Amino acid sequence: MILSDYILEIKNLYKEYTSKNITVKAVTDISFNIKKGETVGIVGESGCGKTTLGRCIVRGIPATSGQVLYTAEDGVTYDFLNIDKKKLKELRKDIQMIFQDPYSSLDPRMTVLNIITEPLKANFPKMKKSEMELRAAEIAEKVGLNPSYLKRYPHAFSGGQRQRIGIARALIINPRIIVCDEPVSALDVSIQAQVINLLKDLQRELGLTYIFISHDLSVVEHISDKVGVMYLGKMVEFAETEALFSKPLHPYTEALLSSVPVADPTVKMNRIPLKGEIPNPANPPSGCYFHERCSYCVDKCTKVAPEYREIEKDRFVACHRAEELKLKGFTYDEPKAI
Amino acid sequence: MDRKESIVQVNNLHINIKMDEGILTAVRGVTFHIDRGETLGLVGESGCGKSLTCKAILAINDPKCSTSGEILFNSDDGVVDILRLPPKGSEIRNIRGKQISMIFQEPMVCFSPLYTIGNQINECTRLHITKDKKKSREISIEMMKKVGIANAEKRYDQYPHEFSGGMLQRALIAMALVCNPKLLIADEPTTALDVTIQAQILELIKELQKELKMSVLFVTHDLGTVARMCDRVAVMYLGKIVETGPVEEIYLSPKHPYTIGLIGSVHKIGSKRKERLYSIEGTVPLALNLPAGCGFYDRCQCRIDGVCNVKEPEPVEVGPNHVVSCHAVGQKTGEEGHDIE
Repeated sequence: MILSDYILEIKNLYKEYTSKNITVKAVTDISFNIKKGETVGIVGESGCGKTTLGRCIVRGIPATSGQVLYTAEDGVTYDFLNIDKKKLKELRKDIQMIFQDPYSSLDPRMTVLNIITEPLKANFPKMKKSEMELRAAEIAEKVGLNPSYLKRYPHAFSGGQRQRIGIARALIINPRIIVCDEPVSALDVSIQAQVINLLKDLQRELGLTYIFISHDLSVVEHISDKVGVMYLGKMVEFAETEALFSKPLHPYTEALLSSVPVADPTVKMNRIPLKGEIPNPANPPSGCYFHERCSYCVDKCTKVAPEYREIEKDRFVACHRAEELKLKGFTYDEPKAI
Repeated sequence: MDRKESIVQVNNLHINIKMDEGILTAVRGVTFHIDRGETLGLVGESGCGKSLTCKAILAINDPKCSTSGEILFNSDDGVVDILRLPPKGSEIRNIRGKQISMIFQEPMVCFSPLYTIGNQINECTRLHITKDKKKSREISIEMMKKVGIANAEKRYDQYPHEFSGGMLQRALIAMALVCNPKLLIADEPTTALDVTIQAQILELIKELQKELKMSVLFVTHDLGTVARMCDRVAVMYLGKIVETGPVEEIYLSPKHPYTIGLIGSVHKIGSKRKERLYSIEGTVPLALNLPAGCGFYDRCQCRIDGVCNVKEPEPVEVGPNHVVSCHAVGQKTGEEGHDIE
């Protein structure tokens, strides 16, 4: 078997929901690869399928079709979506998740100690209780929680501390990949910075790989090595962070970037207002899903859906006019001397 | 009122809430003013008293909040102190919704699901402008068109669940603006929305402000939107305004350690990606039984022991219209701002 470069390869992932004969394609044909130790950011508007994608990857919900190829520590590659129960149990602890809302993702009737050690109980039922407590105290220290608070219940903690509990719970069984689903969007600005710094420190220390789902572009730009932009269940662009933010190739990416409010009153941006709203995924437009809101739309876009293709190395885009359009992004200037 | 052009002047506003554990001092001596046609941004983290301050201006706070101070409003019939008006009297009702109106945070919960959108926008017109049903319908539809709701005649008779988040927010703005208020209070109007829709709504508020010559009090914790929308900024921490000034001043040379921390903790796209974000350690304390001294003392990097934890700082003017409440700044005026790196 050839050793894979990638720790995770997502291939043609589909997720469809059917209800009353209406099929909603929540995730349509998504493929991308992640190297070990990398952070891949996924951005898009609400309802574009970011969270569904994340949950399909951890097999929290079953995907309709597609593959998630995971290369385990021993170098063997498994299709994570297609392995038997026994192997799944073994591998599941390698891929963990941090949830969006720190207020509803912790059981109010369990002590923090029980919350943090629950994954241990599920995966190592024979482990001694004293050892579990020791590991919980260690991990609490690592994420910046005072270990003496572990006997308390979640209500006694603030939003930022709760998110740290969520992170500790994901980390305690030494995962290799963490899917972070909007881990900071429910937090205040100054607390956001603390949690982002923590995630970065842990990544460096433990060699973690992140899939970072967020709608906040500035946070994604800060933390990610590569970024994927989703629109209506499809990946429209995937590239290295700096390339994507400085030279977007898809008109939707350009529009997203131009609507980010920049915390600097001297920056006057040329805004490209996006007209209308995200279409109903149960009844998507013909051709390119974005053509109704796109200012560069030509006849072809209304009829033929563009192919998601690799235009340069590590640069994927789904747009007919990707080569000819000159789109605007952010300018990266040299750091100014303060 | 000392400033003739001010539309509203809030003086030394205190709001206390009685709780089982003691008295929560949610707002502790807030003073600010808004001029005609001006946009003031009120920035702060959750729990710092932003929303309570806004609601006090409309006198719609919960009765268990005890409020003191002065809110002078330049109404159609001269200057009135809103806090002295009976909260259910006819005078305040004449102001509420007509001269001052408010856009609330979450569009999804602000509308009653039982009535049509048109019916709910109409409530305001029928109270303040005309009793004629047909005419008020016309006015409401006109306003819905103005805020960019396509197909307004049809939308008028629809229920909130048939609207998307962005459209509901537009309907909420239409409801707030239908009587041409002098002052619009926008309490986190775009937090629940996506960036693209957010950009549309902010642009809309700006345009309408120019057209109707309103003053706007823009409340948010998002420093990006403030930079884009406001003329002046007031930064709130733990029930107090710690720094106010023109928007460029605040962003380019913030003086209060909290403002510096807030601005430093936002990553700017396009700037070189720093390894770490600047972060303020600790969390906002609960405003219960606060100790003497500066509220930011525990988290501050520039604190001076023996001064900051003993006495509350007084506001100091450090530039034109730029006022800071901090002992550390007071001691070394003339020096450049603190170093963030």
